[in-house]
Amino acid sequence: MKRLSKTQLEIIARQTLEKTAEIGWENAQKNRSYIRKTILDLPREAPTRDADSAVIVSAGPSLHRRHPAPAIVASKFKGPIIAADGALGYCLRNGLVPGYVVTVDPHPTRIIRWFGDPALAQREPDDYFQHQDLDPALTRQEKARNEELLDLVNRYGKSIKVIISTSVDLELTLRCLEAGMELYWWNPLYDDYDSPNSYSRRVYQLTRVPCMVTGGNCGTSAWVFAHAVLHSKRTALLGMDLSYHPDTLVQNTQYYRQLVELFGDRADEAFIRVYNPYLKETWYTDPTYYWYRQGLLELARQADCETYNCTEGGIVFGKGIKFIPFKDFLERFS
Amino acid sequence: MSQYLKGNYRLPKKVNPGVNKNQPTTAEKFEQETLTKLGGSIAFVMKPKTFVWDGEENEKTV
Repeated sequence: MKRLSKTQLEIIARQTLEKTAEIGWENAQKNRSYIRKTILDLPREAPTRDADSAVIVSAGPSLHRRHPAPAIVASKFKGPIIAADGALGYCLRNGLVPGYVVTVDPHPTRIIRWFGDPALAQREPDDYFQHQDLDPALTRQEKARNEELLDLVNRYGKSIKVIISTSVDLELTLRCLEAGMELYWWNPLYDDYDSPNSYSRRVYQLTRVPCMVTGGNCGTSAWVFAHAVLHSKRTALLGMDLSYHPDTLVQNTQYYRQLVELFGDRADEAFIRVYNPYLKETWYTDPTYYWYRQGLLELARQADCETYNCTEGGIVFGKGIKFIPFKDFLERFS
Repeated sequence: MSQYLKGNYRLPKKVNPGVNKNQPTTAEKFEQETLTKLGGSIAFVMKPKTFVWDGEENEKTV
């Protein structure tokens, strides 16, 4: 497939709104009674900062290929470490306790897996984690890994602030509370709050919680949080591939099954190839991840902060993004 | 070839055998259908220079 036009990107945006707004609204009603603090309480609680830089840890394939956790632990980096929910397990297993973890996806059973799922044994079978290159630790010994994650999150939860969207499933909220995590709530900016019947406005009026731009995914939400709430002047991205490594089999990509159901043996044609001039490699992505990429680039161009992509993989490059090795970032800003 | 095959009558209406440019090609149909079946983790919209909206009461954006 060719790179997507503006019209095609709008189709994905509309489709995502349809898929997530109603369930997000229903979840907000269930989560409402647990709301105590919002993301805007954070700057009030800690008006002074130790550093002007932040690191976002996302869960793309480069996170496991490049394995940056030991470098962070060994460095003198003082800024906040913000994990996307999918990267929480990687961080904790490698001795890195993030200050914040961001979660937003309303899926009823999959997102809680990133925090350790107390009810895993009772769930319907779901091989979502096994057939993808998400977190390799979860592709085998599923139950043992879940137990390990339950222990780790229970042990370190009190030190981690959850930047939790009202859109998440109630079971995830309860899991975070059970682990002693502090919750700071936000609403996704679903749509234009000036438009008639806006979900953003409705959910704001229900919860009185600020709405934050998402970029369509958890990693970009974490970047927005660093910029707009923590006021980070410069932010490093890790594991933010928004694409698949050239060696990854298409069968191990997130939307492969849907694509095969739709197009049979033509499924390969739905992928988009992007040459990364920094890596001199061609990575490939699917339409949804390409939408995420274009959204992040647009947001980075609008923001008055510096964004350093230290993923050392993927397709997030362009105006507003400095593509550098992570060790250079640590040397300059630790 | 056209020097050998020539019409020996005139059509009452001029026929354009070209493809209707308004109709999507098979590849375009494939792409549109793909896009309508996929979706991201959460809805995303951009408002210029707005990253956080704290409601109308305060009229505050960050």
